[in-house]
Amino acid sequence: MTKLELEIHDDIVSTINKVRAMNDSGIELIIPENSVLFENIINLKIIQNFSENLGLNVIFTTPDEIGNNLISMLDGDSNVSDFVESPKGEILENTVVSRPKFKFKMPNLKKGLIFLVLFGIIVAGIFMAAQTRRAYAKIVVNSQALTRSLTVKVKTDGSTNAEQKILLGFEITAEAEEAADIETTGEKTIGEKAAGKATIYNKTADEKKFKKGAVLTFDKEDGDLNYITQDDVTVPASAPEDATDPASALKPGSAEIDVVAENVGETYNLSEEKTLEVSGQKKASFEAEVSKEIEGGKSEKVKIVAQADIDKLKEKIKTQGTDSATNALKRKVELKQAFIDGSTTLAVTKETFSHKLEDETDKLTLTQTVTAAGLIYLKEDLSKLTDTLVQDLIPEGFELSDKERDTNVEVLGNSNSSTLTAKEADIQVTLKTYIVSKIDENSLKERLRGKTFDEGQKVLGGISNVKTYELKITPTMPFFNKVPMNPDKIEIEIVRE
Amino acid sequence: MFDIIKIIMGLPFFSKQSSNESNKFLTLEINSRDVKCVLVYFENGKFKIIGSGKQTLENSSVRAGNIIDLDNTLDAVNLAVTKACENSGDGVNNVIFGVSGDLSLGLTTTVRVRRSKKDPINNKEINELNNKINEAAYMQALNEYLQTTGNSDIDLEIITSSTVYTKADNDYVESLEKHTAEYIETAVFNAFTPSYHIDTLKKIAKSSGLNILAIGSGLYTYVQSLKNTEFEHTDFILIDVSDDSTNVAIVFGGGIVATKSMSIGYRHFVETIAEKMGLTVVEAEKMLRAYISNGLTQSEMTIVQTCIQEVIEVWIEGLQILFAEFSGVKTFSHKVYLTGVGTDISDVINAVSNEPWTKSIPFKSVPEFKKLTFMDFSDISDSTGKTNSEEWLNTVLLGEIFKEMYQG
Repeated sequence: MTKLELEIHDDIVSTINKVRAMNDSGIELIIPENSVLFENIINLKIIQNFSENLGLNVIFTTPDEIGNNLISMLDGDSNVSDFVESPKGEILENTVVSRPKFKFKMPNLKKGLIFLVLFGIIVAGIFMAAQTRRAYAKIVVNSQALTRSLTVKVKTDGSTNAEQKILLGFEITAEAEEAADIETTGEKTIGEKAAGKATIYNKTADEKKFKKGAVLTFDKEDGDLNYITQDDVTVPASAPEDATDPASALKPGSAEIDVVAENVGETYNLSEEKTLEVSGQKKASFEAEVSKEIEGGKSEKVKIVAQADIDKLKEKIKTQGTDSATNALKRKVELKQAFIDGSTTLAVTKETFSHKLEDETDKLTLTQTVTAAGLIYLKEDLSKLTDTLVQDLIPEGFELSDKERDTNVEVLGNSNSSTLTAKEADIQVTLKTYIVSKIDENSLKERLRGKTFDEGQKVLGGISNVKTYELKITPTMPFFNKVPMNPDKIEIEIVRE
Repeated sequence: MFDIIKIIMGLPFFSKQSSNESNKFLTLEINSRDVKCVLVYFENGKFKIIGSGKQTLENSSVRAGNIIDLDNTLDAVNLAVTKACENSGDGVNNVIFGVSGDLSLGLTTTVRVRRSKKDPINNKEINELNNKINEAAYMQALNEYLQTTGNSDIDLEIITSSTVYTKADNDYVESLEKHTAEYIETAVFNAFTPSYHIDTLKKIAKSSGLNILAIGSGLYTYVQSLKNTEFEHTDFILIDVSDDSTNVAIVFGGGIVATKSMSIGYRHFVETIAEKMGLTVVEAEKMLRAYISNGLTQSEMTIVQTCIQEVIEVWIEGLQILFAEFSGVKTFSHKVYLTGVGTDISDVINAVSNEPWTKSIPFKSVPEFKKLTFMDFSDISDSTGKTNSEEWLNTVLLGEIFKEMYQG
């Protein structure tokens, strides 16, 4: 059963919190005289019920007369004389060195040598034991829990300032290069244009000159096919078949010209004698005919870089790049530093594509460099700052415990009242620690060395704000129960209550 | 049914005061956080608040209603009264003190008498009956006080006395006078407070130059004021989550049957936040107020909410025990009114309304909870613009005593 000693001002809520924190299933609750808990029996009933719900067995103990009346009523027993008195004190278990009695008998001459040898061995043993003598002092100090929650601004410019609750921060940066590729989705048709010859017929009475680039069209059901003339050509006017007889039938003038299909593809291949229209001219006036098979036209489809491919690749690499940069940034944080989560800012500083828009390729690759910046602070700086900020709360003769210390940092984020960037951030720092009696170990060792066991006890007992103490000197030897002179052989353990 | 207040300070029992007194008076409430004072103008049955003053008390000056540091409390009273009167040309020194539920014990005592004579009942007989009731009530109160505090060595004084009903041969009557009934029955509500507290209030009044009109039970005035609202229930429960404590009044037939109190209130929420977050009490209260108005960051909201839940867990446990303490009540009304500064915390309202704690309490039907607001009391208007929040209700409603004294 654990004893839980309450303070006079511990009310119902603080008492329940103390009970909750206990690890034992049985608690003896020692309530001081005039405790505020005795203002109302309901306080005791709440503690009783609450403890039962937690599976705890609580026994109330108090020197308070009225308190005992209430405890009796709680048990349904009005006999107030049954109260249990609180313990007056505790006797510590000390190391007791008993002094053995020596009985001397004068040695006779025959045994003198043996006696001397034995005596020498004993002296040597005592000397050796004295050399290995060590002292151990365990001091259980009074402590008080201290929790302080403060809003601190971490800033990269300026310096740590306790008054303004500013902590010096540092901006760190890291770069990460990431590459990603994607199958291109754009398409382009490539191939050879069909070529051949065509003869243009002029049915008019005038000569006609066609410039290079004139278009001859083959009328096809599923779409016209255009062919481009490759040179200037002059097609003579029509003339009577019989030059001597103007009344003879007219024969159209003709001229042959090289033509090339407008686009690539097999569909442009045309056999001889196919009739072509001359673009911009009436069929009754001009007409053309394939005079030499138009051939060699072929085509195929190839992949090219589309804008959608560029956009998709950028999106694909975005997470990759930022993750790598963020991880690289965090890897740069050393053990003595603390990174402020959420302070990371990311920027793409370099971006290289393997091909340009509409380039012929099956695969597009993007290499991207992302730079991440974040805010850190030194844990030691924060520790010093919080120590300074809580100094006013530490009573005289006490100090902050350096062993049981829990610092929780919550980043407050970006809001109307808080900032979070790579250069500045508001954080909520909650320090949970204990205030313990201030004891200078070196000075205590100085005061203990060479002291007898009893004197050592007095030295320990004279330290203020100490709850209990224990002194051990080993090995236990008669006449040598002194604390060693060498401070290195004195071990001091300070334990919080 | 009628109600009469007994005024401690030398005013005669069962008598009403002349109405030519000044219609301006002060009401003053002292709790562990602060002293609140309002200057009230009473006209045509309505209260108009024309001045207000609040002065924060140093920590531990007042605890559980008891004034621990008299000097500090006196200073705060003077400042609060000065602030309340600063815009009032003429000096007002008539004051009604309120006594919070944790320091006043309320109970109803019923006496039934069989008369041997057939004469009409006269004043002398009524006074004898009243004396019997008072004696019985006093013994009842001492016993109740002992059961609650374990202390039998205490002097109690009646601060409020109100007749809940009178019956002549089982018929309700306004007054017993001139009736010739064989059986007469009277139920009287009395609120008691320790004599030392009355003495302390007298000292404060004397030092502050105040004239005590009355010292009244806060819970009683609340219940009386509720009768003037649109809520027409005569059976209900009032839960006042005040600064230091939670006080419960059980009302049947419009009269308080009993009151009980437990030592968990608004202050405990503040102190838990202070303890867990390492803040001063002042900082913690600011934090709690910001939480109530949803003005904290998410991380802060979570921390404060955790602190509140810890207290609520204990508070609900206490509430269950408190209800179980009303041993004379077989079934509780399902109408539950909530008031007090603690009910500003919405988590408290949610917890009391939703937690399964009510299952172990014999309510008549599923309880309905309603938080009372300043707006529910149409007899009161605030011309200062400062006191129209629930925090001031306890202080403001003390005016009900003035109304009963001068208007009846």
